[in-house]
Amino acid sequence: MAEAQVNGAAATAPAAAPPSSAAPAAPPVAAGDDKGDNWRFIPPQSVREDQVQNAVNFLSHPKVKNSPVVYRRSFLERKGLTREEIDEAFRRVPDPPSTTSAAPVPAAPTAGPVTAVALPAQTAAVAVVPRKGARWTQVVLAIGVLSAAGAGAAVVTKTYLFPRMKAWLRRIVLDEESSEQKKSRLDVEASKASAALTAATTEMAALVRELVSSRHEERRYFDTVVKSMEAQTREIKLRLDTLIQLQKKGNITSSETNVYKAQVPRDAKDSTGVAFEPARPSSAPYSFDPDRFAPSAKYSEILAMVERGEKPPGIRDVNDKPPNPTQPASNSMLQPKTKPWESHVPSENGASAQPWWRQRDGDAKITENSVKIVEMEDQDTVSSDGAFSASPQIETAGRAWVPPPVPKTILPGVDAAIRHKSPSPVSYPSYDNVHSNGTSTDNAEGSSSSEIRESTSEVTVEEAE
Amino acid sequence: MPAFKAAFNGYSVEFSPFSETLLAVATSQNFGIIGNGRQYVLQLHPSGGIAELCSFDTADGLYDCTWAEDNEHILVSASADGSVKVWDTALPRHANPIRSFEEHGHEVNSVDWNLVRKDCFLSSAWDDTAKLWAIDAPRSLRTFAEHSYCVYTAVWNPRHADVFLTASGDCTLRVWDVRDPHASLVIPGHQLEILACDWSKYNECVLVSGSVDKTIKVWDVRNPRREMSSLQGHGYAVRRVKFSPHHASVIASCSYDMTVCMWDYMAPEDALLARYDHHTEFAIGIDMSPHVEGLLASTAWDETVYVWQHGMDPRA
Repeated sequence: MAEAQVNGAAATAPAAAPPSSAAPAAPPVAAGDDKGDNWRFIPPQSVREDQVQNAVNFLSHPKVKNSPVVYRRSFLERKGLTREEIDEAFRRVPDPPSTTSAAPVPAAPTAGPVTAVALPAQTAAVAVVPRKGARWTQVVLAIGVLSAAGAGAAVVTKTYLFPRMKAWLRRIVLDEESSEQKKSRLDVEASKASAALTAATTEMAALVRELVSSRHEERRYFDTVVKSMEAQTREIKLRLDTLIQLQKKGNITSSETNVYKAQVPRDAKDSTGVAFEPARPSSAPYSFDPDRFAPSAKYSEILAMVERGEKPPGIRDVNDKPPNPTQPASNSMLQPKTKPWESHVPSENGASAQPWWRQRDGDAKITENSVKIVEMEDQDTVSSDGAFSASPQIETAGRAWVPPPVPKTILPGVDAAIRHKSPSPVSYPSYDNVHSNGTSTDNAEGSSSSEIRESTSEVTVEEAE
Repeated sequence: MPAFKAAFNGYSVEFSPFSETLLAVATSQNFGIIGNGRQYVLQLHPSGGIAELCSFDTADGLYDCTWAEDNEHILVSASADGSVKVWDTALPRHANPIRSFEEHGHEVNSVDWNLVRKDCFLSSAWDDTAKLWAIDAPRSLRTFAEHSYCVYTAVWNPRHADVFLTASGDCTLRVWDVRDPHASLVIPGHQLEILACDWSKYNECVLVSGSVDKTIKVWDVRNPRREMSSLQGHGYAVRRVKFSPHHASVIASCSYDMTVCMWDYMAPEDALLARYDHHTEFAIGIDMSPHVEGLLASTAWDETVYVWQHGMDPRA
């Protein structure tokens, strides 16, 4: 590139020379033409001062001063400056710009040839100087790049190659043991470790099992002890109560108390006429009837015996193993019966022909809240005989579940209250359905039961919360 | 109303699903602490008495019994030695039991027969598990082990063949589907042990639980965070709860306070319908007849079995 510039500069220098040499040649020719009749158009060789001034300004720019001369010249030529003007501008540029433009102008034609000659030399010198400078800067730059590359290479080798080399060398140096030996050693160690681990885990499992079983046994013992304690406290309460009542009634005579005291160690049970719940009205205690209760051993006595290690009497050695473990079950003669909730079964009426377990008290002593059951009785049909008879309703309904008829309530307001229940503030739609199932109409029951059936499939997928 | 006097302390009573006159009663000697057991089959006579039809003796006490739903002769008992005994009442005593499933590690507290498919039954035990069985399978079909304490009761849903409920001493209720090994829903229902549970026969999402904390709580599985209703009135732990087969909201319960109570959890005012205190010891077993509406049967540690109509005095 520097050579090209040199060549270019050399080319322009001689090229600059001929035009500049042509320039001085031209005026004499032009001067001669003025006299002669050689009609040749001679371009005015005058130097436009404004152009020159512009060129000077341009060349005075520090950036432009750093650029090669060729570029400056070509730029000025592109701008339409003549060689004269360019040379003049170049002449002026080294000079301080304060020099008047007038001075160079008159000096231009006369100093033209001199300066024109000096200018190429100057430009050549200027061109050479930048060339040399360029070379120098380029050399400096190249040296810098090479040194940086060298430093980078050194760093890379230090960080990557040397450790690899070291490792490779170490492997070669230290790899005296064969690979099989290493493997076998590792296997032995691993098997030892696993054996130790399994032994430890089995010990742990055994310990845990022991702990759990001992905890269970302790818990169960505790439970039985608690039960016996509760039984004893109950008995004590009973005795206290009966004693108080007897005292209240004023029936205590010395003989009776003696009898009572004598009976107490026998641990015969008292009646349960005494209520536990304060809400329930206390009924009169039943007459003390020892014949009513069999003299069976008491619960706490049994426990005490077991604790002592004695066996209570009456335990037989029974063989309850199946004589034929593959004995098939006897043939079933009966078909499974449909459950009441699978198909509606209306309850039976208390007819006189019924067996005692079907007979019901007409005015049963049930509280108002059980009106449902009471009212159901009144709606029932009379059955023909005592045996279990399927009502006509079952036969027609088949296996479809027909909800029971809605019972009428005694109080008039309750009906409306149940039907038009205002939703509670924290309610779920399903909760309301369930809640209203017992008292809603048939249609609602049918639809809500299907709802429930669908939602249970979700339940089975639910995870515990 | 007649009473039946058993030889041992009564634990459970169940009406036969096939015959309205048959009852099964599971009893244990010495309150079930130690000793033999006896499975009774009782018959109600029209003349006004309860008589023993047959009985089977066992080496250890019996805590629960259930009738089969597909065969009127089959009866299953839960034994305190961890075994589940299957009886065939049509065979003579020396041919019984026809099965003895011995897989549970501790006392089996309850057995329940599937009401929908009728081909399998559940047992729950103090070994924290519930097991699924079929008569003809030599081993249990499934084991459900998630509870951390005794599973006191396992009950099938009367409308869904695969859904059942367990109540446990770890104070939770769990709803299971037999097709899943894990519980579908866990309800931490009470602060103390839950001894009993049952499904509503008419609302397949409603269930009831009875606990040592003396309360009976009614739950909806769709909203298990909070109980629908809490029934209070028992003086001691509630030992068994049963939903009525005839009325959607009526519950029968029996308790260590020696009483049997009838509740209507949807009653606008007081939920307690009736209280029967005919027993003189812990009332442990209660059942409501699916054939005769309002017919109740109860048994207790006083070795008696009472059958009476709701609204009438059992001792009359």
